[in-house]
Amino acid sequence: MKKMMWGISIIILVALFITLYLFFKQPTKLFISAKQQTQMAKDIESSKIDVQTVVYLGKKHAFAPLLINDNQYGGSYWQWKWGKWQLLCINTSEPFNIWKVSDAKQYVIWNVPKEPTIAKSLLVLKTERDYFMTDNKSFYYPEIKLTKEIAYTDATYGVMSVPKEWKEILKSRSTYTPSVTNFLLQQQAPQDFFYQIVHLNKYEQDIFPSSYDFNSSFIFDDIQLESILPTSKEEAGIK
Amino acid sequence: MNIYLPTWITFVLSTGILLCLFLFTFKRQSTKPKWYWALLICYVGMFSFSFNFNVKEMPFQLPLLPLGVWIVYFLLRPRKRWNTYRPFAWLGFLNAFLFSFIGLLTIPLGHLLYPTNELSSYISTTDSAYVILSSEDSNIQTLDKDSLNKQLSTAKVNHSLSIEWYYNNFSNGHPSESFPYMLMETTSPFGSGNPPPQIFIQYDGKGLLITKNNHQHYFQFQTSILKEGVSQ
Repeated sequence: MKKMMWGISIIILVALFITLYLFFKQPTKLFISAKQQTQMAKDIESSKIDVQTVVYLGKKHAFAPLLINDNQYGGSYWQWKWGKWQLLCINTSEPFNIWKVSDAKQYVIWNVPKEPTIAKSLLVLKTERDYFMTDNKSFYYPEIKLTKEIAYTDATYGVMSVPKEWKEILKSRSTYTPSVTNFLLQQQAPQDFFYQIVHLNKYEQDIFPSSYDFNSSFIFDDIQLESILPTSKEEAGIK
Repeated sequence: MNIYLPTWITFVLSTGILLCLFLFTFKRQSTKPKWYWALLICYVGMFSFSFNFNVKEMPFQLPLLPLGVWIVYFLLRPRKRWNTYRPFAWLGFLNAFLFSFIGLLTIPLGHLLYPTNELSSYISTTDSAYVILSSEDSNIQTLDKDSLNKQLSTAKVNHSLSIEWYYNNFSNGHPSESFPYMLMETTSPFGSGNPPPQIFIQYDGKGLLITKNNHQHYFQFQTSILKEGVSQ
């Protein structure tokens, strides 16, 4: 009996030690082996995947842009969890996405050859203004509209952190999301924040490149990833 | 972390009254029970089936059935201890009433300590405050802290023009959004509670739209709290 108790205690201690070790193990560099790349290609039913590079987003998150079947650009999303890099998601095409790692860490990510007609692209964060009355109290929620130019590079891929001010506004807005509690007067709560993207040519006219259209994802683990939909200047309210 | 002082005041008040009543009951008992058992019984006595409703947007519980007292009765009756502990079980039930009714004081206390129509109820210091542009149709401006600090006590609460702001029914020269700036990182007065208020600034710097919990107020200034310049 005594021996068994000893045995159980040792097993518990070892399990605890391994758990703590894995939990606190510092992230290493993300290395995606040839074998892993073959497995990833299999997962998304493609014949070949090449990892273009690894972009680290803080210590525990990384984005690895992919070249699929030598002609298609996509991306893979990774997180350091329990002592190793875990694959969260593969996108077989990668026009603009927003990866919400946390409230304080949000990234705009893309991997798409830049259309030659595009002179600039603007990331837009927007909520419509709203007004409602409930229990004789009126509420007004001002419009929020912010833009930031996408910083294209020579590479097909890119990562851009959402500006600090935007994150502060998002935080404040999430605390005070307009809602109507009066059950007699059901009103539609306004849309939450949404990101949009506007592509302009050198004459500042809207363009909608077809290669930026669709986005298909293979999700393997929890990830907050949203497509940023293209829109027109007028729709986004940009002068 | 900013506690809500009125809730703490009513909590301390009800707990104080409970302790006094407990001591009074304990002293009057001819057969003294163990004090810690009496306290536990009192606590169990607080369990009740209650009717919940809202009084002025504040949840209120009206205790109806003394579930805790019944539990104590069924547990102590066979052991012949019921008569000794009965006053404490009922004291617990009485206390459930006390907590509910004293809790109602939270609303007037809140109004007394932090009047919703005074700007100083929302902003106490502005040391690390700054302005951010939230609608880009307007120009970037910075905060004139001196101007804001001077007017913290004199700002007047005014009638909200929500419909006009929403439809933007103004003459030419008015920007497309009446409140294109946000005031960030102001400090709320001690005890005014979380979350911090959301503060929008009027385009000319002469008004603030403050939302806190479930109310919104519009304050007006004599002079602008904004000045030209690039945000820090």
